[in-house]
Amino acid sequence: MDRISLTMPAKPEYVSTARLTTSALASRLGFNVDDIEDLKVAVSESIIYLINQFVEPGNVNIDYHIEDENQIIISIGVEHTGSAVKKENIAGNELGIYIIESVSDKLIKNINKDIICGFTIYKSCGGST
Amino acid sequence: MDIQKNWIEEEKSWYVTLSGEVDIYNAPQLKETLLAVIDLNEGNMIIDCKDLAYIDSTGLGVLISLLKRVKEYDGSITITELKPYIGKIFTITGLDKVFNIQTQR
Repeated sequence: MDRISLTMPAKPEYVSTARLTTSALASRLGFNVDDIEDLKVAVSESIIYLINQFVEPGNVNIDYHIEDENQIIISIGVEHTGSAVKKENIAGNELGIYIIESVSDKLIKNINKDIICGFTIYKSCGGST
Repeated sequence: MDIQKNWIEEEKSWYVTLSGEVDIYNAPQLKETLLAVIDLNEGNMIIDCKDLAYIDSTGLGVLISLLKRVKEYDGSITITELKPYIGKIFTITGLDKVFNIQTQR
């Protein structure tokens, strides 16, 4: 299994970097255009959710696990030193969660004390969406 | 992201061309620009997305807030030439039923 890691500040200006990296890796694995777009959306929305989740997010850590040429598993987490944002802000991010679930084959939420601290996204070539 | 906007007086409409990527970084700029043009002239809005490569949930949020503003004076927003994979996001979120949408073939 190959593993690629990307760490970046939890700032809006770097989300496009994660999309580019995701696109390059998915393309390398032979994912079709629709699946690549799905992955870009899933990664981008995960980061947006995590950035908005915490008052003082630190770095966003993205780990790409390449199981074989047909499947990629992407773990996304955020370092946070501040407290969680208000509940109404979290509710406003539910649109993002719904999008991530819709474009992934499988989504696992890393929940700690009722707060989502990370996501694990599973996607296979030609997988269902 | 690039935004071009033209007011067509005969149609009382704004023609907006949106290109590039709209995401959490530049969505505030999109919101500021489009709300400003509506403040200038209240009319319908036609958004050409032929060269729009990406839009995220914050971009969709901007379009929703824009629609709320336009509905205040019974205007409408039409989104044209959406790429199919972007149209899919509108479908997933149900926004295809909220906006008038035309997708690229």
